[in-house]
Amino acid sequence: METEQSFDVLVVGGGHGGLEAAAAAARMGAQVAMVTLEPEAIGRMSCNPAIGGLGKGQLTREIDALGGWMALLADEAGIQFRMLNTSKGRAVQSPRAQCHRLMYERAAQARVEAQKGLQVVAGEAVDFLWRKPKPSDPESSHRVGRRLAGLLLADGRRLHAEAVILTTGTFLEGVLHTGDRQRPGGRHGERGAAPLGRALRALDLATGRLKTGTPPRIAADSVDYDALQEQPGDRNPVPFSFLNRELQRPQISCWLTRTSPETHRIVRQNLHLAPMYAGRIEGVGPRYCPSLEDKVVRFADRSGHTVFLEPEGHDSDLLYANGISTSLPEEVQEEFVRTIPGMERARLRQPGYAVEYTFVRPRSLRRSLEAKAWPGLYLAGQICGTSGYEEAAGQGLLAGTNAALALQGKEPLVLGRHQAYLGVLVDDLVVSDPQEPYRMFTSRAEYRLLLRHDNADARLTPLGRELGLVGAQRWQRWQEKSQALEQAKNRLSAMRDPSSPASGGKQRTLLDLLRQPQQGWKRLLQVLPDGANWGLDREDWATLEADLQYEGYIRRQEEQVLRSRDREQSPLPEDFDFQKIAGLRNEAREALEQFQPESLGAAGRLAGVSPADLALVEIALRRWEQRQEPSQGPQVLS
Amino acid sequence: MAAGAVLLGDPIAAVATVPGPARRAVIRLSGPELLPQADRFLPPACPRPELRRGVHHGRLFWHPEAPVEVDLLVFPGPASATGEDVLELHLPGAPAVVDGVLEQLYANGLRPAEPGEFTRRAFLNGRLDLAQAEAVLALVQARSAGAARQAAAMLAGQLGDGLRQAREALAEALAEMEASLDFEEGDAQDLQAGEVEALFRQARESLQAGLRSQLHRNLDQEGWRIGLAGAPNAGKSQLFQRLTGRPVLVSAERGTTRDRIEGRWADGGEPPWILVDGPGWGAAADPRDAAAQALDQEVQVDLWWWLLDASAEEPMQAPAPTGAPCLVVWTHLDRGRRVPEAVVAEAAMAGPMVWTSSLDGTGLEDLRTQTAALLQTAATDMEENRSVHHRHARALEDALAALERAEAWRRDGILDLLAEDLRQALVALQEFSGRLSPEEVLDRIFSRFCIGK
Repeated sequence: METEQSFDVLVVGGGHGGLEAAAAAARMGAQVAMVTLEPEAIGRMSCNPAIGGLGKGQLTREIDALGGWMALLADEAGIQFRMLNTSKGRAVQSPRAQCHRLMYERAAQARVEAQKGLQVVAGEAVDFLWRKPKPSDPESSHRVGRRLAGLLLADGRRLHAEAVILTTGTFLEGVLHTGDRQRPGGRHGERGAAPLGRALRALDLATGRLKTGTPPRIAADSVDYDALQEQPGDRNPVPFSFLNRELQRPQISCWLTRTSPETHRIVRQNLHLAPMYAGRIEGVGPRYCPSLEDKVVRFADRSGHTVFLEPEGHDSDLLYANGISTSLPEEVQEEFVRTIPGMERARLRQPGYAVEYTFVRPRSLRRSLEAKAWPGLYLAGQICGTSGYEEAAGQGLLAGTNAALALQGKEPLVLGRHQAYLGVLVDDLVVSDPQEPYRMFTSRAEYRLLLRHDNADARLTPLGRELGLVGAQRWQRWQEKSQALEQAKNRLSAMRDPSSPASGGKQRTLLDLLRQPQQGWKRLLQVLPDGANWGLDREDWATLEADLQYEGYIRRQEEQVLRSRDREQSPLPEDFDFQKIAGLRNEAREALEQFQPESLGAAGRLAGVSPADLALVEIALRRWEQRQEPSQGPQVLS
Repeated sequence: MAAGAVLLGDPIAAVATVPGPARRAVIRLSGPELLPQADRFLPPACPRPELRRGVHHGRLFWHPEAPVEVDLLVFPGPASATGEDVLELHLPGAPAVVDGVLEQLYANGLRPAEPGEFTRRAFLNGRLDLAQAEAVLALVQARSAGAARQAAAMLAGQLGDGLRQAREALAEALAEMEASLDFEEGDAQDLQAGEVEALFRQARESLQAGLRSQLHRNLDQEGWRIGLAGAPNAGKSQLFQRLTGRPVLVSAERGTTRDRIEGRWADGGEPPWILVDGPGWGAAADPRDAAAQALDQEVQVDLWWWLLDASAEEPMQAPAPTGAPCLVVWTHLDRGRRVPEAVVAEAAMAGPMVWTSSLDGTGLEDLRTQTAALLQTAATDMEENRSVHHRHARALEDALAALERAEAWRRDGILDLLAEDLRQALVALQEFSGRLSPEEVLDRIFSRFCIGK
């Protein structure tokens, strides 16, 4: 075994964040090593076996539009596809796919294997390697007198690289709780990463503790399906990836039931055994994914809560009992599960548990996901305080891209809040301090109407192509689609709507017809049978329809984007001295100093900074710029 | 700074002078590309600008049947005060005329300028250097402090109630909508359609009530209102009687003044000075301050006289009144001055001081001079608030329009657009009632609904 090896980028972790980070950097031509404790766990879905959902489906499609893997894996391993919110408006629709847990990780591992420039290194990263800063290194490296240079593994191997991306999920100082039993670990059956946690602590980044939980897994043959409500997949399932036009695998159903008053009584009776209520967990859990203990206590008047039984594969003998996340002792879990209709004889194959872990407060990061104080160190996923495969994967893709861009000496990729949920995600992280694991919601995006799942490719694929993230096949598919859409628009605008009066008044075109909220593309195709041959599939027609129907609102949101552009594009210098700005309120000053925002726009989004405070910062910034200008000009030789 | 980036400002308008009756007022308009669009913004029959610097004389209709003489001054950008195209309308200073014209401009798509916005644009376009910009902004801020106090008093009243209720109803409706958009059915289980309808109705009614309460205060008719605050027997009634000539029952018994009484100080100033004496304002027994009591009684005062007995050793029995500027009036000087210097120093923190005797007339001229000075400042603040007022009215109208669109989307069942217009209604109100952050929406969702798998 070689004890010294050199790469361009090291990725610690093979979860959803690590996969996209490694894949993105490799696609951009970097030599990448993925360092993982267990190569056979690469791509594992450690929580529920599903990709997408509200807000998250949009993220997944954005990852796909930038050439990422997540949507492709979901299409390969998907066993039930559903488009959510179809009746509520195009901008809030999201795709979701129930996946075969084992097939998903196998597909992920196959892609890792096939990816050029990506190598898996089995081992445990325990410390960082450093070197003396060169003149070309950023200022912060010189200040501390060292620059990140790689990783030391537990077996003594030294991996050298200019960039290290940490995607360690819940493994940093992770503690698993089931009842009064606690054990260190990252997730069920896998050990944690305590030495790396200590190495990270030595970097003096602000950290905190969070917790999350999982429900028990149930033996699939131990439930009474006749007593459950069936939830089938969509009749016309839409593939997740823009690359795929059809899905091959047959769809299977999920199943619904409800907890009963008796379930709640048992939970209440055993609350003293729940780590959260016995005070053994200090981390903060997510409000959007409460444990059954939380539900019973906080909503005591409710007689039942929905339980979603999700198969872990068409051939799997496991059901994931979504909705009853718990960390009660195993025997209590079994007792309450059996009070749920249809589950009277249920067998637990694996108990639910809570996991508590350390995260780095993301205000320590730039929007490139690089640590402000430690050039070359990137973080992505749960380590940044987020929750969810999609959030992790999105950050991984951005971190991998930015690590590769830095190696090429290029500016990082920072997406705007109006460009992508990925932009909202990163911006939210760096301007606020997560009080709970951060999850994407569509309501977080003020430009939600611009950020539809179906136009993610229009928004991002050209950018991805430019960066080298998008390959030839995807680029060709993109060009075909956008041409077909453009042509269809032109043709429709030249065709008279036969239902509009032949004479008198303004003539309506078929494009106008599609603009009507109550019409829609299916109606259009009734008067335009030839449209079926225009090279557009159902999704493409729906995209055209949405573009037209939301036209006015899209234009208004675009105007808002333009209005805020000068502030968004005004960078605030690092270590800007907010102390010197007279008239700032203390609350604003504290927030600005703590978060050191990278732009005026980000400064305005900090809690505690009012528009008046922002005006003062802007004036101070202009004064600073005026003072800088002479020294930035060409030096005059005497 | 990227060239051109600052040209993206939308066109704005505001009064640029402090108008009073019989003076000329100036309404200033500024915006990139304002001149080519002037037809869209200017009221009918108004002189039209040419694309070069100049003055046009003519008439405009501030009201469908009432023309006034105006001058239109044209300053094409970038050689203008703000660096953008600037138009100035010089017109008679009567408040009704100025407001009438402003309302037309705003209805035609101009936006009321925010405090300091002309200065900010001038600075960003290189027309003012930093020191000049800071000086102007400091003045704007100092003036806004007084104006903010007045605006706060307005917001403590009926308008504020309307805005708060409207915001609450809109925020709840938005939380209901977002809960249904951000969580799967069966995941968010407590949504009720009927509730949203009731919230919409409530928001609409509150906004309409807010608009109705936005009536101008007519200073010429109503006059300045000066509140007399002070402990019982600080000499409020004697002073009131001396200045207004109206007899008031005076007695040594506490709380003699039962009802609020008002009278004009004939020798005061113009607009008329109305003295207002309320029962027990400033009495120590009441934990609330005089301003709160005054508000309870729907009295708005422009200035407080805080009467303190100079012949007493402990004259201060309650804190200084708040909510308006304050003049400290020492009374009963004819009885001898016994108040300790430390107490005088403490009282001086509330505002300027005068020493008086209602019995022999000592210090009353001083009282008049000091009062006039403070009211002059209040006049400036009030002018500042004319623009606040316009922004209020505009915000309420924008919110109502967005709410109407939201209701239409609800009928069509297009929920993402419904939510967008609810959000726009809240954005319209945010200057007065605070921004609604996505976190607050989520907080509302999680506190009401049991959500999540």
